[in-house]
Amino acid sequence: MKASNGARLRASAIRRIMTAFAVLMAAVLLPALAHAQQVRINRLNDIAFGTLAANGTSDAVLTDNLCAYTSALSLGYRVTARGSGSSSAFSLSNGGNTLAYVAQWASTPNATTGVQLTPNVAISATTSSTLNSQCLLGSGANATLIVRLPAANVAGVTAGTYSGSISITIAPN
Amino acid sequence: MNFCINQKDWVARGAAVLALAGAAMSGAPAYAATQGTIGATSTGSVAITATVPNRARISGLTDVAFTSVDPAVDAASSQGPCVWSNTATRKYTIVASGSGTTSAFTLTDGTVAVPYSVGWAATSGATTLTSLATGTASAAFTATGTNITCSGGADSTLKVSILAGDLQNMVATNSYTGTLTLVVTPQ
Repeated sequence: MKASNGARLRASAIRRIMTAFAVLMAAVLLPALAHAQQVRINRLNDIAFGTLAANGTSDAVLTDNLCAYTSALSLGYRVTARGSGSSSAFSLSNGGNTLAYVAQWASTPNATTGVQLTPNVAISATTSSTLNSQCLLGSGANATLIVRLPAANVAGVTAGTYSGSISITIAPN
Repeated sequence: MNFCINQKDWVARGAAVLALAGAAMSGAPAYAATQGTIGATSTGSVAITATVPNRARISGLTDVAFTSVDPAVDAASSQGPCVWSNTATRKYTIVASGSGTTSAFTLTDGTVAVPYSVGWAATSGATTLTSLATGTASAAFTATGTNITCSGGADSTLKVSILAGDLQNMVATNSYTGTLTLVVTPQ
């Protein structure tokens, strides 16, 4: 009986040690693993529509090929965009009037359509390339930002030059 | 006798666009693309610019038909079109052109040309109008319509008149037709 009790005591002690070790490893490694998931957005370029067509019957669309890098094993990332308009609205301003636009995101370069973005609302995307954080290889871009000025929005606004910015934040997914 | 009216939309003038663009930029902040850095999250930004040119639109025009006209008195027909201009001042000029020789304001039955006159006002239901000369830009008017579709209704007056003396030169039962073209240019 004594030998049996001793064995149980040893087994119990071993379980407690293993549990403590597991907790310790989790405390140490999980933050490290989370920290290892890094992202980077770069290779962004300004979008200049120039002078829009006078007849204004078609939407004006321009795209920007850029690089979205994530180290997440899933290759996934989240995209959150904010415009420079009121309440982060996607709108341009000439100082007194506003011109609303539509923004879309595609997780491939040279895309002409994508997932429509809503200010401050994250969407999920999957990168097509994670070779490096600056997309130095291949085409140099792996995603597309698409900006559309609907003809209906342009039709009624006061003449002038409208400007603004769109801020894009990506995070591991 | 009747004739048609042409309306031309979206008339713009590039030289005026550049002048207004410079003025408008003074009140807008400057933006430029920024690149994100590597980290748990990464943020970059893109500047977006677009220049909206001067635009104008004339709409709400209807054909003018003089029927059963008494040649003893002048004939006139008024209507309420709408002009919209997107310039800061909402101003515009208008050029009217007839379908007669050298764009004259005339109707014809193929043989005889009958002159008519054209008046314009930048208010609806106006009785005092500015006389338009064919092919000549008017002085600047100010559009009151703030909606490109003129949902607020007519904001101008177009009047076409034929003098009694000219009516008397027209042969009964003959049909006299012509076209009046109106071009508005934002100012």
